[in-house]
Amino acid sequence: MAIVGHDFDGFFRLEFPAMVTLAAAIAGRRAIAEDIAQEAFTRAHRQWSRISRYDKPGAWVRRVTINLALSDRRRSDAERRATLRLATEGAHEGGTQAGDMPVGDSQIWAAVAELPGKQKAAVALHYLEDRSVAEIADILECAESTAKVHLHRGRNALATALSDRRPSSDGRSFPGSPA
Amino acid sequence: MTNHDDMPEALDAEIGDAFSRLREEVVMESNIEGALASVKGSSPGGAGGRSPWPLAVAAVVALFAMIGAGFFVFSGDDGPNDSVGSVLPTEVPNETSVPETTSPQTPDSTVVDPTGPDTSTPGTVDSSDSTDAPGTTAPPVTAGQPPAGEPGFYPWIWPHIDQNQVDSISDEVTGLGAGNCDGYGNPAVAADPFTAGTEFVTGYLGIDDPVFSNDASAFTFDGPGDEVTLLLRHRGEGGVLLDRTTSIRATVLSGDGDCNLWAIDDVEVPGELLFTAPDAGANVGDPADFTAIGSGFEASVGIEVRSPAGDTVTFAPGTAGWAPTPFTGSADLPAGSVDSTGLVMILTSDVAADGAVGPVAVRKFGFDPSVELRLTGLMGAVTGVADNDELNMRSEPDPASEVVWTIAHDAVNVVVLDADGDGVADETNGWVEVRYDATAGWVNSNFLAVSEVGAATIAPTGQVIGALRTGNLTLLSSLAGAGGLEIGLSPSRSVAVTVTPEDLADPAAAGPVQWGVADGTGDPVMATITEQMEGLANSTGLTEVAGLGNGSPWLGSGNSINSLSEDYPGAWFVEFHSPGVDPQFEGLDWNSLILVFDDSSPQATLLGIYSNAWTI
Repeated sequence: MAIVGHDFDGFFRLEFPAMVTLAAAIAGRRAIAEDIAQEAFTRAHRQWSRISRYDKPGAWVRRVTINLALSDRRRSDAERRATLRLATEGAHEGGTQAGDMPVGDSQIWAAVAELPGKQKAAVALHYLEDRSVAEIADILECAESTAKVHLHRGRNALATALSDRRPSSDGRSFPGSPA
Repeated sequence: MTNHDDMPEALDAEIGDAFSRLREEVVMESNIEGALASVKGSSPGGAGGRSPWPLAVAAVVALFAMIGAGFFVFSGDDGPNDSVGSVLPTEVPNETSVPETTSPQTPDSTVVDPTGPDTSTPGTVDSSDSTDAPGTTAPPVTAGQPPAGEPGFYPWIWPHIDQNQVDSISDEVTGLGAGNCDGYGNPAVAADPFTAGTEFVTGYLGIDDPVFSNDASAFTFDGPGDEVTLLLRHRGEGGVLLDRTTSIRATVLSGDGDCNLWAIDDVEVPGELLFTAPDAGANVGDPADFTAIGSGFEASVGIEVRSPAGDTVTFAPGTAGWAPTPFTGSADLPAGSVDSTGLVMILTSDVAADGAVGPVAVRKFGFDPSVELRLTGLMGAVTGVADNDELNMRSEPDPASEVVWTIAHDAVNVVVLDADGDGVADETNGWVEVRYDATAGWVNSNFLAVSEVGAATIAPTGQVIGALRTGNLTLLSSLAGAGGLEIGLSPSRSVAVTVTPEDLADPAAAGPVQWGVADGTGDPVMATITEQMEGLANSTGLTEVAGLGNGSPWLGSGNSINSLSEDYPGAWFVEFHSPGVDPQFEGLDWNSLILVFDDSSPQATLLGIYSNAWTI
């Protein structure tokens, strides 16, 4: 994603909402997503004279955002698990959203929260930004083959989790889901 | 290929919609201008702001030039290049070879992500960020500051060797080095000045936090007037720790919000020793020591400290020496500490949610040659699991219980619980309780080869590094023993040059030595022994956890074949690794320094020193 010259403000306005969204999807909590995104941009701002010369400053700030969001996830692992457990239990009883994520999607966010970090990041980049495998690999700083597997396994895990939790109308799992 | 076979279209769309809704809500509610103002207000640098690192860039360039001169350019004679893909850290099998469906649960292994659970840790993933942290680039050269690129200047080390020695603690101390906001994440090197004198170490302790903290943000201050807590300790020749580690309180006299701390005032030495050094036979595991520390961690694998008199004390799992404390730091941060005559940090990526720690590497920072450290306890290696498969970790010793994590088919550092300390894994119905990847659970014992890890001597790593950095070839020679040292510019013994004790005693007499040939041209690489040792000392910034073991995966993997495990059967390796830092090199600017030890004697003998890096 190109930025306008070396203008940090333009870069910020262009990318900030996307980073908040990315952080929320990975951390599983909107409440701290804005803080994470701000921290990522604060780091970018401190080093803007250098980062602005990168070919892909957007990839840089995404990488930092992902790292910060995953870090937050690790720090709050116990909390996350408790939240997830409550959300899952609640969902089975009629639908409680996972944390402060959008109402109605609690099962999806609960399933996303269960993904390992890299898979979660790959899935988020895929669904949020329609990133190609090559772009995901670039952002995650890994081989394309690795990014493929992260995405593939992440999506499969979602399919498995959601088919287990959300039987289709005829009472069976989603067709094609792993047993 | 992104395999969508297992994702029904309807579900795929539903998930996509959920992400879209999230995005829409965020966009609707974001206060972009407010956030922008906040970011610019909290960041002192940035576009149009000060540009604090002009010399840092030069320093990094110089450092890389130095590394390149010694390591980038060369490849071993028999180090055939692999494909570029071979260096990628998370090589995975072709996903088409991975079964798409869950395999039968006999044995209890299932097809999961062949890349393994997300073992990445924030500190290691975030290489791009660390690139720009103060510690990875040199601070500006000002009065009292070390010239960038000067021997002994290493990323993350704070303070600098030569500029922070004081003979006594006075009320005011100036000439300190640049700080490091991520100090706690890098205490290994922050505590590593390898010189005589008194040093201040930031990063361990935070404001109003006189004890070890796992809060990476603990060491923060806004500027002059803020109170900070630092570590103080004294070192002798070669970095040997001579005195106790003490915490001091001080007020920032000169510093800024980027954790640069130039001077402190109102120094207060409480007289409280954080640690008590063990005398021969002393019980260093006395709970009182840990009370002084204030926090500890339940260790699934204990640490044994052997005193000079040969007495041993073991911090066994669950003993009073380890005060279980919920772990709140990032999983890649040092998760535990215990003192002998210095600091011993457990560097781990395995920290369970319940606070249990499974060390995957241990480094000794005391540099006291009289103290030997050994890991004790049980570790497991996954066995009998196919390459494209992983071992399930379940919540209970029951195949019907929840899979809480999966363990790579070749994992060797699975911590196995042995609560009763009888040297036998605690087994329930054929399942053993383990810790792995920050997760606690149970695995089928049929797929875990459990062994004692008592042989894992913590070799005198610090002394070797200290000897290299201070040019103390006499110390290096004493560590190497009668056989001399084998020095290799690539990780293969066949290209190593043997340096004899006589050479180390009189390096000038040996004259220039051919260490290898330049990659591409075949020109001989000539350098004196002293020059070569300096090159080795500067080959890594020690920014990464040191790997330890004989069978542990190498932290650095490049296009030269690493045959050290085969070349030195039974030896122990300690790998200092610096991941790539400059985005333009896409991670290929990593480098490693590998020390090879013979662990067959109580005092491990240094056999060789090898460098490894991406070669062209």
